[in-house]
Amino acid sequence: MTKCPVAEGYDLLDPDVVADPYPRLEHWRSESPVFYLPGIDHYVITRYADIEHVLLDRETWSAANASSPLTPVCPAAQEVLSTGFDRVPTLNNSDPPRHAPMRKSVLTVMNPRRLKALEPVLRDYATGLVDALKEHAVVDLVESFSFPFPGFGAFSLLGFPDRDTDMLKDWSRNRVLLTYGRLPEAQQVATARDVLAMWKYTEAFVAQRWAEPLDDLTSDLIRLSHDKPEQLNQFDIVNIVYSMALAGHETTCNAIGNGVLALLRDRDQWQRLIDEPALIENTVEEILRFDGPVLYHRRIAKVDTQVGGIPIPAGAKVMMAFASADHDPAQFGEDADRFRVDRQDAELHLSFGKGPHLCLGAPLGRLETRIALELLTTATPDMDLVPGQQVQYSPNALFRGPTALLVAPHGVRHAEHTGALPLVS
Amino acid sequence: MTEPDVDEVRFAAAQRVVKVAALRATPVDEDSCGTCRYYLEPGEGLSFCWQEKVQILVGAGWWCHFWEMCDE
Repeated sequence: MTKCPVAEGYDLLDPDVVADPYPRLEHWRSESPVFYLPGIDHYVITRYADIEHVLLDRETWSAANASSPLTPVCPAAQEVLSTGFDRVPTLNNSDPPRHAPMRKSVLTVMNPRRLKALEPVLRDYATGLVDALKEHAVVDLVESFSFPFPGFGAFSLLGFPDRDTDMLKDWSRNRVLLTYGRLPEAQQVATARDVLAMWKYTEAFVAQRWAEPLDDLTSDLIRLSHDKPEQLNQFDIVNIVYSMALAGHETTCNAIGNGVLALLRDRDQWQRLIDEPALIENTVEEILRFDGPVLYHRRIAKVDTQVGGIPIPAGAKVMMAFASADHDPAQFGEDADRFRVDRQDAELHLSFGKGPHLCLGAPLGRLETRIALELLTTATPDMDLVPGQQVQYSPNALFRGPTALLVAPHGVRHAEHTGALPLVS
Repeated sequence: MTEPDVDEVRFAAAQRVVKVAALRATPVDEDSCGTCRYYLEPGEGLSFCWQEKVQILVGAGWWCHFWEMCDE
């Protein structure tokens, strides 16, 4: 075995890396496919085959750190969290034997039948958003579509009242920044208060549904708990709902934003979807592969092991670079860096993970992204990106998506003629 | 008598199913194909899996990551 290369000075939160992580990941994958990042005390794995192996090997790898803060939270923020934030491992961050009953509980209530029933509701809501979008010559697609649409999907599935959506989205955004970003201490404290508020909100919501169950996923979990108290209790349900309240929308919001950006940057691909809507299903997979919403996922070594010939000691934390694996030419060929809506192997991406921890929200995320593409390509086929904009990304190391995306739903020429954009001769 | 040729196309298609589904010939936790909603003939040792990405003959003691609860 060889000694592990150390990436001194490589910073996942460097603004240039946040804006475009792919060139550096390509460099590491070809030069040193496993390396150590001393700044955050993690090993990074970049090759598809190595990551696939880790995901499938639960004997060697624990998922316990999957949702932990990337860097330690400051003591003052920790103090805020210690006043009632009682999160325990539940889904993506639990190991056997706890993982199976939690996963099974969610699979019981979030089944294909429920998803099928949800599809027309989602389509109606998204159609309303697209109709509103068409009223504008220039609009921020994130604010007016890709942000509210998956939020509505996740929150209505869980049963959260519509009136709380904006508040929940703000809290979720701050959860991501506290967990995967690098905030100044004062901001960490303020953000920790939001995290605590979201936790307390979830506790109160579950207690309310416990007293009076309705027709939603949270109530179904409560009914399941009444039937199988040994499998699931009220505290578990709070943890599950809290997990799903973030995972259920943040990633899909980013996938839709990344996808529309990739399609409009490569106009031939956008046009192909308009001409051949049957390609939309595969395009969803290609979006997840080409610029997926989750850059990294994490594990801890339970025993001394090795990856790609590099020794990894027991207790070491690793980051699996999904964004690198999904561009690995050894898996996706020499054109892995190209966005192709007709790519045959696109569905082999690791964006949803693989094996026992495969993302439970994958069917919902796929459905929402497909609906988004179907509606946008049909209702706004002339849509253009507003030229000259500098696309900004959320300043965090793990989730990737544009914070805003200015588009001209009826094309740039139309926007120029209506005065929404300066006329370019 | 000559040995039949390996049908490379069918072999590649089967390998792809294994990869897409993370299919393995052992259960995971207490779950296995035999208790999955996509297992066409519960109680049989082998049966067809009708999950859209799988669609092959599987063993009751196998597992893949598309495993779903049976309807109760």
